[in-house]
Amino acid sequence: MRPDHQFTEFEKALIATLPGGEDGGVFAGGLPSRRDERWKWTDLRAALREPKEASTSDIAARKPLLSVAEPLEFVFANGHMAAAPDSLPEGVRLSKDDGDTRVFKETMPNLAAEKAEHTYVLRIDGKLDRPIHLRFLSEGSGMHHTSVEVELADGAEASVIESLEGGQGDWFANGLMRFALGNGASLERLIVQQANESAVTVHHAGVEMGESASFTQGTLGFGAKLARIETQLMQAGEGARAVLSGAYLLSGKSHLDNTTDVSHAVPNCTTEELYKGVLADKSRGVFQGRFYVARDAQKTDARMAHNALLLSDAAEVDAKPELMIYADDVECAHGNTAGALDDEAMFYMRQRGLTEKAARALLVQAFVAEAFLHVSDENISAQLTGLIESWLDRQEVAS
Amino acid sequence: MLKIDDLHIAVEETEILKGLSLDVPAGEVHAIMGPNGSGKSTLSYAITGREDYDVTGGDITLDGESLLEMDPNERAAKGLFLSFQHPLEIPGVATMNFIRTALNAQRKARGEAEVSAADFLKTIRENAKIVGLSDEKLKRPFNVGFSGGEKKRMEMLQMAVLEPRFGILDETDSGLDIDALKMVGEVVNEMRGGERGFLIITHYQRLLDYVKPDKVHVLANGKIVQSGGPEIARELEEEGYDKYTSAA
Repeated sequence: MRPDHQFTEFEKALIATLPGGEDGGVFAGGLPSRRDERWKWTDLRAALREPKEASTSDIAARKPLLSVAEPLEFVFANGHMAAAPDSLPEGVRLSKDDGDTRVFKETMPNLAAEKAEHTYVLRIDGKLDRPIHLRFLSEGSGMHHTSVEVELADGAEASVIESLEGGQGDWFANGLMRFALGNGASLERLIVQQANESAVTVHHAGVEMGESASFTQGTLGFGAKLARIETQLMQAGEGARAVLSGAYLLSGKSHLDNTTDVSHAVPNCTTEELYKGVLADKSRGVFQGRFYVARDAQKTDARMAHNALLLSDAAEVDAKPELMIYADDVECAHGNTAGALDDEAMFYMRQRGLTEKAARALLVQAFVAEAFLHVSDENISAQLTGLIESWLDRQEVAS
Repeated sequence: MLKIDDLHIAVEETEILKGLSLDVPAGEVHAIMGPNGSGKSTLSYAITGREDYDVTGGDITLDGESLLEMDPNERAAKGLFLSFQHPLEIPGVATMNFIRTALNAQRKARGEAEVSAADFLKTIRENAKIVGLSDEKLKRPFNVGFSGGEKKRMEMLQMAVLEPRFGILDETDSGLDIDALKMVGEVVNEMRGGERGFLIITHYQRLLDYVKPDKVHVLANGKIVQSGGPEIARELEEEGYDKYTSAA
């Protein structure tokens, strides 16, 4: 426990449910807060002061955020695995691993592994042609945790869609994902997040990549009272290739933090990262991107860009791109921009007859589209566009 | 048709148009010529309703209806089209989708039925041939990677497809080679007449070799300083704008 740390009621109640007694065990540091450099714009402690009960798994049925063709669908109702496929295709195995959980440097993933009903492990061998759809449903006013691990054997191929589907209430969801990609394995990951403005959600992923593995990640997030989608990626095998892309569209008082941390430990790896943010009203977007390039990781090619479009003077975006490079023969770059809609383009489109709202929608669509160029499934890609369109439809034009 | 009466326009508190009056009757093509900085582009933006162009006096009417309180898209739906001097590239916006959205937005605003995808495709393909834009160009994001001349062709394509009641060509001729100039002439000549009017804003006389204007006006220092027939254009070509600018 930190000497200067006054536990909040939330923290005290949570500690009482953890092994390790009063020192808090995995939770000794309490919730991350603005005093932690990596959480300075996402003060979880301030957002969760009142104690929370564990959520019940009783949850209303609802239409999925994404309709996925022939999915291997796993439904987590407030943290509880409520539905799973009757049978799994050849090459896919599901098991539970409830071993030691204190493996992370950070509190939230450790807490998720500790508190989740199980760590579910999916092992994939060979080429899986049906997408794995993990639906994390949340509602009510409790808290819940999930922990899922996806392991791809050497040369395996799979795609995983994580739908973070938020219902009513000021629930708190803490999710942990772990991905292990064997040599030459290939994984396409998509995260879609939606929640109301009272809910708090943290979704952490750790990714480890073997030699010549390929990992492509897309994110579409709409925020919450406080939301963080974090990806920590380790390129541990030579020739690994990672794409991290995403878009966030925030309105009202929504907050969303996209944090990525990519470590290049060995030579000849590439990382391509692009995030696009659209911020309306009094919303707040956070982007933290870090590239670490170890001394031996020569010929690393890593590029990062984050572009934010501010639709309102009251919206805020905080961005922190960070390059830590210890090798001398690398290509690393980062770019970060924030700006308003282009007046000239708006006038041009309106002169052609588009209403202000329609012109804005078209420009916003064009702005975020680049973040989804890597989504290989056209049907999913069209649904992402649909989600963005309905977000745009809900926005008022303030002029 | 388009009537401008004693128009005063200020941009950031500097008066650019200082009492400009102009009347283009239905079916006529008028040209406005003027030196750089005389207010030509300001005029085109003021007519089409760009923000930041403050009308400090006067009126602009289309068929007797004042445009001043209308949004740019409402003016477009009334039939105003501006061929931009510097057309934009709009990355990420699909060309065909944009033009069709524009056409249907105008039609919707006028209470007309939307154009079907098939009919639209037919129209745009036909017109693309006339303005000299390939299918490949139509499939690109709007104007992305286009040359200056191709962007002007895209302006003419939109004009042909949107069929405005009144077209304003703001220095459409600048940067065009002879073939492209001929194409602009062809499009305007095909569309002119009937109830449709045109205002051609230009620095040079050369476009007017391909589009014979009914009237030519000289704009200098924020006002129309002379009006007359096509002979004025030729006169300007020979003598330049000196006598207007030095007088001002």
